[in-house]
Amino acid sequence: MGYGSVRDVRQGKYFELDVAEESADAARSTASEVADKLLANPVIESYRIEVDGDDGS
Amino acid sequence: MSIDQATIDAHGFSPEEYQRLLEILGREPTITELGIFSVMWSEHCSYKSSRLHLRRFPTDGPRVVQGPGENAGAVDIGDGITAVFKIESHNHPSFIEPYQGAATGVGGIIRDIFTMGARPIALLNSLRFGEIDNPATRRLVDGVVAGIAGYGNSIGIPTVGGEIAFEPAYAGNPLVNVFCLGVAKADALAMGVASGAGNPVYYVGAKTGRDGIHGATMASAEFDEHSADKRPAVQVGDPFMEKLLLEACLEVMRTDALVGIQDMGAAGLTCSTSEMGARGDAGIEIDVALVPQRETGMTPYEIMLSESQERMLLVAQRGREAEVEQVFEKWDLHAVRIGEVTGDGLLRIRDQGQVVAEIPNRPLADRAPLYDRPTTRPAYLDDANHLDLATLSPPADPRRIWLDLLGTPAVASKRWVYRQYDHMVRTNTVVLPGMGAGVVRVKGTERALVFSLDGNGRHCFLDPAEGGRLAVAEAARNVACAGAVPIGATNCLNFGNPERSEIMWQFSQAVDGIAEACRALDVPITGGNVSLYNETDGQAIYPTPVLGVVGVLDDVTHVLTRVFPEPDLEIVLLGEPAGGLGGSEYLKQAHSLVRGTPAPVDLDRERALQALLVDAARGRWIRSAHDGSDGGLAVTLAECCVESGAVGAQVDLPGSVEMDERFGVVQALFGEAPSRVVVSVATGQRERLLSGARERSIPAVVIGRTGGDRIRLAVAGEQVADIGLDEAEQVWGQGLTRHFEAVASKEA
Amino acid sequence: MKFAVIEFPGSNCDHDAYHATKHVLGQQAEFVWHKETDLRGADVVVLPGGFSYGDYLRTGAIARFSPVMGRVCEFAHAGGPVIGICNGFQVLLEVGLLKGALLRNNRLKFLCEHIHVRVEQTDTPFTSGAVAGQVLTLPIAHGEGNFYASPETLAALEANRQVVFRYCAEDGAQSDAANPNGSAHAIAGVCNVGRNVVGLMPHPERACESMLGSADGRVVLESVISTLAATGAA
Repeated sequence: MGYGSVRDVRQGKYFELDVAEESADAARSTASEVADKLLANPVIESYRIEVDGDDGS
Repeated sequence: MSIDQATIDAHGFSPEEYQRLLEILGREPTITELGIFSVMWSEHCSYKSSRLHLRRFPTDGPRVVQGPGENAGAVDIGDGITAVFKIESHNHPSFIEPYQGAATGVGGIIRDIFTMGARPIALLNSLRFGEIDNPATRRLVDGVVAGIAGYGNSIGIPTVGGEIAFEPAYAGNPLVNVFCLGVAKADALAMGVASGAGNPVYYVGAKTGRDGIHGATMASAEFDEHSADKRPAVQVGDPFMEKLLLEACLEVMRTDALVGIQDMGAAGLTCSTSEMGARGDAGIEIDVALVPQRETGMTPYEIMLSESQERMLLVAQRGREAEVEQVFEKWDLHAVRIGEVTGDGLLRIRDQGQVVAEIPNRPLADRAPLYDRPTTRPAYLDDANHLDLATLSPPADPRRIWLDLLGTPAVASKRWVYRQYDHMVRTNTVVLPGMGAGVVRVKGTERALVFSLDGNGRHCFLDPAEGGRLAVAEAARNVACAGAVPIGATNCLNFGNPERSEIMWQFSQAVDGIAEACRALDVPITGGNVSLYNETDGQAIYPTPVLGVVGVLDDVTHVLTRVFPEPDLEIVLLGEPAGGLGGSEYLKQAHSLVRGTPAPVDLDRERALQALLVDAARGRWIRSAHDGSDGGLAVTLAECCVESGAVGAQVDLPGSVEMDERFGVVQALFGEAPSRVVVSVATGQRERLLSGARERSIPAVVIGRTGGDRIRLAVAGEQVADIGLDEAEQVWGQGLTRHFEAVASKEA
Repeated sequence: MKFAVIEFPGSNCDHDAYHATKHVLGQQAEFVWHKETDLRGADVVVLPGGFSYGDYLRTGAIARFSPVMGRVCEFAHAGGPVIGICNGFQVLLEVGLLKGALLRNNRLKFLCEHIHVRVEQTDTPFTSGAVAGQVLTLPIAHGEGNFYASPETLAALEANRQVVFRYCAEDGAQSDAANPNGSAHAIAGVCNVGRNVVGLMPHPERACESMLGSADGRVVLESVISTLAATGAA
């Protein structure tokens, strides 16, 4: 397509989870379990978690 | 509240049509009513330009169980079983968004089959694109094939064949016609009818969104430079949802708690409610607030016009709601009651109880505009039909021409396409794609269903009536070559703008040709589809009727394919040997011309030939059969050898008495004509075949023998061309593939 | 023998497996809906091909949580023969009964055609009737059949003789051209350590009648029938 400045492309999945937990750490922990059990297949996928809102929202 | 003229115009009404609307309502319409009339009276839904002409089709026959007018047609195949089938187009959406346009086309036709109570068992498709050397065309092909594969494979219905052609005339207007075939017990067919005042109306399937609104009106107009803006009008498909619907609907139909069922296709809720009501001579009342929605703030107008996919409308028997709901719950679907059948003949739409539309149902259907548009024989024909061989540059060496034709995308192996389709799921596919007509067995019987899609835009451009006759003849012949008796047909009529009198002339002529051939060959039309306005910036496609013929093979073990099964068989040519160059693939490839007239079909001869093939298959006189088509006999013979398992041939074709000095050999090898079939026969059966042909006044001549590792052609005793099997396989095998795999490596 | 054919929403080849086991091979066969937890005395469990749950998230990722899978895992852990075909293989990998994962075909397109596989191990219930090195012509029909496992897992699978089927040419030879989807080590099917659970991408249930192109698939289903008969199962 003529975009010579684009050197590399990776494709992945993006999930937004709305989690009701007491703290950002608790939310991260829940998200991590959900990712391990279902959202990611550890044989072929790795994941990273970002938490928005540390006020319990 | 009055609606302004600009809004009326935007909805595509002519002044007369709007007058008629006012007469039916007896007052000015609400905006929702305006929307309902506009889609129901669009070309796509009302067939206002074509309906008059479609009446000329023969639609009756001893085997016809359901003719045109329902969601699909049905013919009796014996053992208390009916074959249910139809073809539909999804042309305009496939240009805008190839993957989803094609995918939702597949989804739509599948629904038309299972809504009749039939289990879909096979799919075919007929595709037309511009020339393959254009990267834009390759992207379209890629998207369309991926879309058909994505949907058909997911839902688990095998796509077992079809046809693809490439002509500049389709560059801005690709054609995507999809055919589906299903089977049902004759006494278990379901109808799209609403009846019985008080019976509940259910909605089941995907939630309604804003996709596809005015999809019907998009299909009723040409493309121009703003066409890319129409993207939101292309529906998005979900084959998983449709798989659940298919299984759940077939299951609920077995309970006989249903009064009627119809899928929501073009014009969604509007079309299904009003058609079901009209067929049952009843009224239907629904409240759009009850319709499951996936967007917020949808207006009644949007809900009624949405073309969100994978939705069904059902009418159940009052008192048996729980049974119906239970079946859908099992499949994790929610059947939602959205209204009921009434006795007042009105289509009444409420929004949280408030009436927003109330239209007399019958007149909405029966008084839809019906046009007898003017027809004018186009001026181009006089010149285009003139073909003087003396003006052509001398032909190249026959061997070169032969290889060029074998490597042309239209002729070459379509393996690149069909290996993307799961053509084996359901374990019924008896003949693999590319080996002849589609053949699927009917489990529980000895029978098989045989079907073929055929059309030729070039022929119809040069002579639409003859093109129509030839398309029917070819599709029926392909069925007979497999050994089956053709018993019914469906047609997809793809044309340009009917408001142009030349296009309307083409349409009317083609209908005449199709009607005549269907009558002569005993294949009644059981339903079909019309797609008009296939034009961009005033350039129309070739008139392209596509015929789908279905046949029944009483004993599946009698099936024949196109390939020579072994060496040392005799090769017999059935039919007149002579072919013409008018409208031929040779003329297009070698001279870049589309001129002349296609060789006409003698329908009596064609009928006799097809009957002979059926008898020959039953009696096991012949071992293979392949009919001549693009590229003439040289190509036909090569097609009998490729993929045969290395069986070559030695053939001597008859010359004709007055062979043109320069083009005589070319005519013999590459001339095209209908009613010609190449068969292979064991020596011991040859006389049986030849006398069978004589009895039916069909010319038949032994032209050669199978065997060896080359294909050798002679004309009137003189060797003219000779290619090795390996070379033929290579050229034919790569003819289409190289355009895609070459691109892939370039972009790597 | 009694075959239980598990049906998930979106399974397509369940009917094919039922037809092959019941009508072609004359065995008892029953559909078991994914919400059930009773295998009704089945001797063999079949996880068929198709697009369970529309391949949402990943192929087989949702089906593995269906209620019936708990029972299937118990059955497998107790040594019962389980075969996962195509999407069924994907489910067995997701649920952990088999090791590895399946990626998109290396040529990126869905592929439906007859291919050849070599039987590498004959000491599983589904290959006991074959000869080591026997070449079978079977159909494939998949877009995500590219077998992947970490180098450690692959080494272990090979060392433990858990590779049951390998893609090959008609004469049994290995080559890139004979590998239709780029699978590591040309792996077409594997078994578990206990050797009673087998998963494969090709469709043996579509190759039980020569009218359809090949009857080589019969040996896979007939093997389990005779294995069970020999051990005195019902």
